[in-house]
Amino acid sequence: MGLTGFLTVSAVLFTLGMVIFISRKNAIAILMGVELLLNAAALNFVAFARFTPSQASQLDGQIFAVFIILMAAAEAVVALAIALSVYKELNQVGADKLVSLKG
Amino acid sequence: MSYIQSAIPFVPILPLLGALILGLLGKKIYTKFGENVTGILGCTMPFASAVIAVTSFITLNGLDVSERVIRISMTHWVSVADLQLQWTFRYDPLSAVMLLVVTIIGTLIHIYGMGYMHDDRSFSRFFAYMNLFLASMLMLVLGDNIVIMFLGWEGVGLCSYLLIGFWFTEEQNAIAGKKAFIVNRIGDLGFLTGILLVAFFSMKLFGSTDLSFTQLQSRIDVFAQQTFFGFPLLEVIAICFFIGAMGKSAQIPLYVWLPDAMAGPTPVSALIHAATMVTAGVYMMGRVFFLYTLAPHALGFISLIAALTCFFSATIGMAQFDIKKVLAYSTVSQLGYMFLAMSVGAFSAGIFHLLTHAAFKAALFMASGSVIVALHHKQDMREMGGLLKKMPVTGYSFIAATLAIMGFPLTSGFFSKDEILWKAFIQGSPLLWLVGFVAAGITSFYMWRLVFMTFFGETRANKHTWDHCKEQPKRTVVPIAILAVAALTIGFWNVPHFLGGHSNFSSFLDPVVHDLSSSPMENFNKIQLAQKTEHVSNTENAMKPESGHQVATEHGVESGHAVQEDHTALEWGLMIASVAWTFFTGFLAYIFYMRYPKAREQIMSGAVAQKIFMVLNNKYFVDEFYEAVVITPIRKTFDFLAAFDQKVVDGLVNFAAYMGRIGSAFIGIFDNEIVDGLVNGTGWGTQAGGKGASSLQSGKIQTIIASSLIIFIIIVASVVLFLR
Repeated sequence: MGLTGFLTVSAVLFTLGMVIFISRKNAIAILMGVELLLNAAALNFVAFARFTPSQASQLDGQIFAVFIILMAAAEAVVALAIALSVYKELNQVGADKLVSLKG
Repeated sequence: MSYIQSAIPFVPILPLLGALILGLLGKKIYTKFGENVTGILGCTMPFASAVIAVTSFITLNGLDVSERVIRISMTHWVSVADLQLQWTFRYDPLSAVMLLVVTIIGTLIHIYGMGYMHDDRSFSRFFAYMNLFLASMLMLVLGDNIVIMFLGWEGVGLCSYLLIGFWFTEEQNAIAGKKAFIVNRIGDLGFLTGILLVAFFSMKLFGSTDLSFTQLQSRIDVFAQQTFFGFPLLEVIAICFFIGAMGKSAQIPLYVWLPDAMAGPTPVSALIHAATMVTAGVYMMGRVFFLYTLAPHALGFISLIAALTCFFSATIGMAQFDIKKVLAYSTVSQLGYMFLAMSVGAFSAGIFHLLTHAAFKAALFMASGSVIVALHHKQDMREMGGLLKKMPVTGYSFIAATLAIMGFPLTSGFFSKDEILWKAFIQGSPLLWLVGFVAAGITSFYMWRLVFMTFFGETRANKHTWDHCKEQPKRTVVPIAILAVAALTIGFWNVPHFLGGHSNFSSFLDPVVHDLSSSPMENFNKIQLAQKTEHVSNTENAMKPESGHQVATEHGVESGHAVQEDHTALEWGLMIASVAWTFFTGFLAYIFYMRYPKAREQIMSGAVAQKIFMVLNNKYFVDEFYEAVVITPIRKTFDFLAAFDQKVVDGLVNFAAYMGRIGSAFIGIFDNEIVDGLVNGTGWGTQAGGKGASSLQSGKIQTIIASSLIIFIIIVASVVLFLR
């Protein structure tokens, strides 16, 4: 199983995440999509790290992946907090209803 | 500064002042103080002028003959390069006589006018115009240069126009005024041409000029040698001046305005159209007599015109029924006499006839005016008759003036007219005398016809008019009576030598106006011969005996007396003939209109007589002739021009406008659709773009993400595809 398989899985994940991100209206679901996107990116990092020919940076990808997980956790905290406060304010978290930034 | 020098300028200024006061404030004065105050105000200024004129005249008589030309220079007027015109008045025997005529008769007629214009709505306007007329006339008389004279000349023309059309609410009067004005313009054009010729040649020959009569006289010899388009210059100028006189003094063919001018109030007819203004032409010829002396051919032409005028207008006068029209044609005829005298070189005789005519014709007009007022503005003699009983002062004054005009022995007309006829015979030709002689008889006939029809016999007025007819108030009849007395007596000023007199008037005028002692042509030849012999004698330094004799005759020293004595018998003969002839025609009038009217009716019933009467009554159809030959073609031309203007010129203009409109419409469409379209399109495009762009900013997070994704893909794709 080579790099292409990983990249294919990663691309599928990314596409699914993107589709969710775009198609879903619920803010929580969107956050889920974002998780998928992050994970696709992390998978890419790990795959590239595994298959890199360089000896000096064998762990770079893995470290990035750990950071991505960390960042995802932080993002989830912040985003869920925002979602909660939005819900408190508006009684719903439909992304298509939150249009106060409309130009 | 002598009395004359300080006083004379006021003679024209005072009436001008009167005209200003009455013209500007007359209406107020009239409504506030009434008719009498206005009238007296109107008479004051002429009266003051008359006083100055009389006293100046007496002073002038006291002066030595050589000092009798006084030039009063007041101020500069026009000063353009070498043309130096000055406000200068000239007081000499000639203008003194005219001044007397104008101011005294003027004053009397102003007083008379107070009575005549009684209860007229425009009372103050009348006196304003009359004062203005006097001012203009006096300026004409006193002007020392031709331009001031012309100024007065035009001024009197204007006043004549204003006064003929005084009652302008009736169209006929307004038309008469216009006619007078336009006919006078034709004459004035001639006069002006003459003035410009004088000015032009003065500049050309001498380099500078002030156009004064004195200067012109001193330069006349040089002028005499000039030609203008092949004609002698002086003849041309003389004819030009005479054309001016023709218009103003109503000579054939420009006399037609004068009879129509009777539409004005009668005092106007008396003052302007009989006594003063119409004689301006004669006065002007007297003023420039030195010019006419050297223009014998022009004088020949004038004598022809004068004789024709004299005769034809007299014949018209026989067949008129309007009392003022008869007097108007009589005036034209008498003016013909004056020009006849001028044209044979008897200048003083012409001026003297002017003087006597002014007296008797003013009296006649004023008396006729008095009759007209008494009969409630009836002017037709067929509705008069027997008025002598009702209006004795008017009637007897009229008869006295009639005696004067017919030339009854020892009245003024007798002396002046006989002098003219005699000079016409001896210095013109027997033919000229014959025409004048016949006209004198006709004059006597129509004047007595007028008298008999108006003052004698049974009245033909209706009963109401007749009962109300009475003598006019004093202010009307006293001036008439004064002038009638003057008409009878004034002739003694110029009793000729053969009747034991001294021709005082002629010798009084002599310092400024020399009569010719022989016919104009002979005189002219003599002058030329004298100049030639002078030239010869200067070069050869020897005088031939016969040339000396010629020079002497020119001055009329010795042979003049001899000639006169030779002709005494002839002079008596002619005088007796003309007196007898006028008595005869006067008697004829008595028979036809008093004694045996049946005889007249019998004669008049004949077909030939009817035809002659018809022609005379219609004034030889001259007005109709002018209408057909001059006025209608001019009108037609104008109609044609108007039509041309309307159709062609207006058409062109309209076409141009139409084309402009079409072009503009096209440009308008272009502007509206294309230019505006571009502008709007830009706006619209921007708006649409903005709208499109703003739809990106939907605020929906998915949209933002989707679009950023698409843009990201596009960027990446383009980088991958194009930048590699």
